[in-house]
Amino acid sequence: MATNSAALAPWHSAHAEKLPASLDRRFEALVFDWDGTAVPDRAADATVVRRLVEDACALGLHAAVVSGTNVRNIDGQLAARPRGPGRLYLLLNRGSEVFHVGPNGPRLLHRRRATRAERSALAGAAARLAAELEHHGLAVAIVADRLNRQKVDLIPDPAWSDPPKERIDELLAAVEDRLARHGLGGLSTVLELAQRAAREAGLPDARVTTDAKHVEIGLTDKSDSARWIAGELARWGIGPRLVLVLGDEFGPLGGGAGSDALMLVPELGRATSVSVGAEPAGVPPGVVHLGGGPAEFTALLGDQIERRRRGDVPEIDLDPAWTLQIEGFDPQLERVREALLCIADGCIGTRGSLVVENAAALPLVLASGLYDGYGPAEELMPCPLWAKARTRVPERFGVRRALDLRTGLLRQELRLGGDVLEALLFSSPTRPGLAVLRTNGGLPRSRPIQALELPGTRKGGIVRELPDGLVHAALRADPEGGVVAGAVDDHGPERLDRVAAYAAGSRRLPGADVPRRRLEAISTPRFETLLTEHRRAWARRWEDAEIVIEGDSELEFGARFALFHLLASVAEKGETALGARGLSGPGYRGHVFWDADVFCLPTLAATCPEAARTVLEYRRRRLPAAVDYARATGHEGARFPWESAREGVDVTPPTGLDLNGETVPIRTGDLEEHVTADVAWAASLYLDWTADDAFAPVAREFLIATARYWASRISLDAEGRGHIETVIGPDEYHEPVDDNAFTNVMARWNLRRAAQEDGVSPSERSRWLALADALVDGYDAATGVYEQFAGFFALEPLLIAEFAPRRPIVADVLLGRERVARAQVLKQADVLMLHHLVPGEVVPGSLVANLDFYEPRTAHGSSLSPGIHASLLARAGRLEEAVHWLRLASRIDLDDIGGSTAHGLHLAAMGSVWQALAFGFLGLRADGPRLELDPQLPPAWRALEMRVRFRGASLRVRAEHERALVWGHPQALITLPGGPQLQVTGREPTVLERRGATWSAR
Amino acid sequence: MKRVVVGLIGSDADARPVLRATIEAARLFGSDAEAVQGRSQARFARSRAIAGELGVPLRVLEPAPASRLVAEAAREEVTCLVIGVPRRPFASRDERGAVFVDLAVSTHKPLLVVPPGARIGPMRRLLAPLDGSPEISRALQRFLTRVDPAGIEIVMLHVCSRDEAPAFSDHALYELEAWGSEFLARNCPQGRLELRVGAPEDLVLDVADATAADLIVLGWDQLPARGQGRVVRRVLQGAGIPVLLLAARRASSLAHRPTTASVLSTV
Repeated sequence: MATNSAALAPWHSAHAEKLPASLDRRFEALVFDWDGTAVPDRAADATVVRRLVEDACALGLHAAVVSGTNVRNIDGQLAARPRGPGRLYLLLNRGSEVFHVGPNGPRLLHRRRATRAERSALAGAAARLAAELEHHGLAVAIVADRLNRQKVDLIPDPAWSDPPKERIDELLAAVEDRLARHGLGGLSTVLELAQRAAREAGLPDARVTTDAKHVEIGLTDKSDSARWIAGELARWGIGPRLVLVLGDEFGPLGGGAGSDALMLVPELGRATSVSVGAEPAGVPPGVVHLGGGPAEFTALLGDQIERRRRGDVPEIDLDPAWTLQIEGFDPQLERVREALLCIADGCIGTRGSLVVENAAALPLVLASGLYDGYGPAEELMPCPLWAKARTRVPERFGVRRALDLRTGLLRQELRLGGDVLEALLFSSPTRPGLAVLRTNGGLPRSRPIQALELPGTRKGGIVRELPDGLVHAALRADPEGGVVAGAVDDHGPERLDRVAAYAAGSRRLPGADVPRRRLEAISTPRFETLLTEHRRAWARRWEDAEIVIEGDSELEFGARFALFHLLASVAEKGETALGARGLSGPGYRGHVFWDADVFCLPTLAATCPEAARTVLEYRRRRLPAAVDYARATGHEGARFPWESAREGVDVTPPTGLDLNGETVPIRTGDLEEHVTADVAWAASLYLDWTADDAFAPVAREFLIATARYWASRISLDAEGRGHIETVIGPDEYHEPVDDNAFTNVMARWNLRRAAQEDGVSPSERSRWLALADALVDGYDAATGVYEQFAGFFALEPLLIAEFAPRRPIVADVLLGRERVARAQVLKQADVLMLHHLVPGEVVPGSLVANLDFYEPRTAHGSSLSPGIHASLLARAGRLEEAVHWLRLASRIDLDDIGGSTAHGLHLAAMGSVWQALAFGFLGLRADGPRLELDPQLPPAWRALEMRVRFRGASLRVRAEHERALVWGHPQALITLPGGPQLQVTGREPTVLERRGATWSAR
Repeated sequence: MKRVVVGLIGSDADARPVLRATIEAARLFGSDAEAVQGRSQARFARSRAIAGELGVPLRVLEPAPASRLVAEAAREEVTCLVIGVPRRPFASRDERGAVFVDLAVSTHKPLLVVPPGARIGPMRRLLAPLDGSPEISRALQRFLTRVDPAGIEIVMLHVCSRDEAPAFSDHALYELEAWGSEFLARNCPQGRLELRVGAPEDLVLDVADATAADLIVLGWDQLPARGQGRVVRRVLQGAGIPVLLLAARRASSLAHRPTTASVLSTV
């Protein structure tokens, strides 16, 4: 098997040893000034720089040239034609233009276009300045043929027509002398005059700069270039800590800031900045002054190339708002940490185990939808392991692990004495099923491990190394299907690059050559190519999903953590069997519950519709099984199973053990029928949010088949009232019950919603609507409270909120099963789920009464409960309580609150966190083609901002206390309470202001 | 040579069960059995005869072992000390009770306690109550490294008080599977787990009966009046099988229970 050593010219960076510590690492992007930094002047031969830039880009480094001049000058001199994967940008004309340079030369990406009024103002400002200077007797010249700026030449002397950079000190002295002779004080005075002239000409935000010879008044400057490239690099998954900014004029010049200091924008605040210039007045704080001019620049660039060639492990951004960092090794907590650090691409998931073997680990690779076994014992099959690089180390060693949520990169650093082993792992959504590992360094007495290893619990698989170095593994599932994997190791002196390709089939074992073909399809250099793609893919995901909570960084992180794992768990093509723990652990055997449809899908529909579609596709492909299930239980239509795996038949185990070791029946499989309406609800919600016409026929099929089920399930009593008897509602503490409000109202919604579909006969439609109207829902008009099921109000009133030592708590342990069954104690939201899912099906204004009644009776003994209550409490305006439950929901795994995170992450609770923010606090709700927005912001938050996709548009919604801002691309319809319907579009936000309980557009 | 030493104390009416328990303990620890007794003690001859009959060498200790057993336990080759006790040893005023208390609160060696009427047989199924504290778990794991694992079955018992009820149980089977498996991973990966709800002092003996355990292995902090001490008192009061006490330093936390708020040491 060919390896990925790129055939690039060697570069030796002897000076690397003398680098300051801040530069002694791999960067992912270089942003640099041109004239004086990369080359001595514009006439210099740039062949060396060209070769270095092309080599750097070929190894995945992004490069950005920042210059005041135009593309003809820069591209004419540099003439680089990089082929990637790293990208080359030219940020020119003082921040007014951006080009991307590829194999075919520069291509314009962005140009700031001045309006006629701005052009006129610029000319006016230059003329005013020139007049002011001439008033002092100073002869100057105006240079007007520049994009978005005008220059006033302060020394129009042929001797100084094009001074080289190395004569800047002389030039500055000559200019200062000239100004002083005319009573102008110096350059700083002229800069002030220029600012004033610009203001007077109608340019309050003019950019005034100087290169000593000229004073320039413009619409843009290098700070615009720096901001643009910071944003662009973020879109490629490169955070500011990974950026090296190079210039030669950071220090003050003639009383003004050096031109390169303009690159020190907040967006690049954590970048490393280096000056290679003379810097006679010193450099600003935080800038490393190396000096050495272009020679030092080429040495630094060469050093970065050398680091890539020798296989340094890339850094991650370490932004605390985006990074889960775990320090140290604790065998007691290791399995929990492995789950928290899981990396997944929707196709395979790999727990974040150390790359070095250890006894405390529960390493696991799971493939989505690949089940093994039969019936209730059917479980996700452990696949061959790819991420172990080294054998066990006998001594205690130091560990630092960091998972970058923005890019899905897991970095590990293990230390023992003076030895260090670094590793980077990722599992890329761009090529699902492909896993990548780089390590560098080593630990004593720890030997390399073969690229693939069968999981310890599995027998019957094969692993063999083929003559060309490819390690092949195959493992069959029982009764059918299986996984094949291929991996190749590429070793350097200290480096190991490993790429593993997996192919899983739930029906048949994929061909043995599939992994090889996938590996061969990767261009070289493999690692850098895959890394660049991977970063870009995750950055793109966040462009439609970002969450910002200003004023609560802990909650913001928890929400991002939740959304990261949700997005990672779902494929964007095909189908996703989204089990309760995703791909992060063996818990719940990978079985699919209503968690997928009700808790996870809404988040996905609004942030990654393609992923949501695959969750529904799993249900669609099992619709025939649901039809059979309905028939087998004596009904029509389709009944979805409570627990589902490969086939879509019910795989709920019939019994379990309680905490007293006694066998208890598990009746949810037989009785928790609301899942059938939940699946229909999910399909409907997906359509509401995406307007995906291609899915509409599938949704129709779901809605009609499930409505037929309910129509055959409902029984009418002598008075003509409809009932659904012998069920279990979401509150599973009471079973079986009759007329569970949640089940009945969801069935009612299902019937009414299906009746709106085409393809339903008039008689069937009428029957459905009549049944829906006949169904009892337990609503008590006197109190405004829905009775959870027939007889609930007669149970022992028990406010668990008042006597439990804490909540959440498993009430049947606290009180015993019998007592709980006799009491008004709930495991989780039941009636209240209706207010969350189908507010149009409950009596308007009934939320508060039901919250007041049910919340104190709820033990929250299900991880699904806190997030939903947070959402409803926010809708009710009880914001302090809402934040309390939301925070708890966001910490369920981070703090292992339930003690079961070791076996996998609670994906449904993660979905509920997003829902609480979007539906609860922002008040987002699809209403036909419109998106309703009704923000409720806790006092401690300054703003809540979320990005979502709605019916093909990308929306950015920002709620502040007194206003809301909405950006929409290309366009979307929004409404706010009491406000008009608005179409949002374009780069500028639509701003809405709160006036009491209503909103109005500014 | 490693030895399991039994101290035959004063008014011990019948040394036979204690000596038989010693033989079984010696098998468990892969050691030789040895008895010690003072010549001046009552029934010395009778005890020597039984020891001889059971093949346990008896060494004479003078002065009488009551005052020497703590020092005896400290000898490097001694892997376990065995003692017969009255039914309520912590409350007993007789010599055996006093010696037991002295030993129990001071020795770092495993102490096999043989209550009156205890069923003595091969020690194959061991019931080990664990409160989830690292100290108790470590004591058990240390013990397991010193015994021959062949033919031994370890049954862990964790008793969850009602106030310590877990925060969540989303599913009657899977949640317990996950929780239990993690409990084992943290405390004793080679065993199986029995869970109960209630007070451990009320439940250990029930579970010992239900699981047909041959030996109860109890880690404790050597403080008779509190924590595991309450469990030890109740178990010794009612046990129908021998009880092996393992000294553990005072429990400071319950970090080995898979419920913690400190997963992330540094974020």
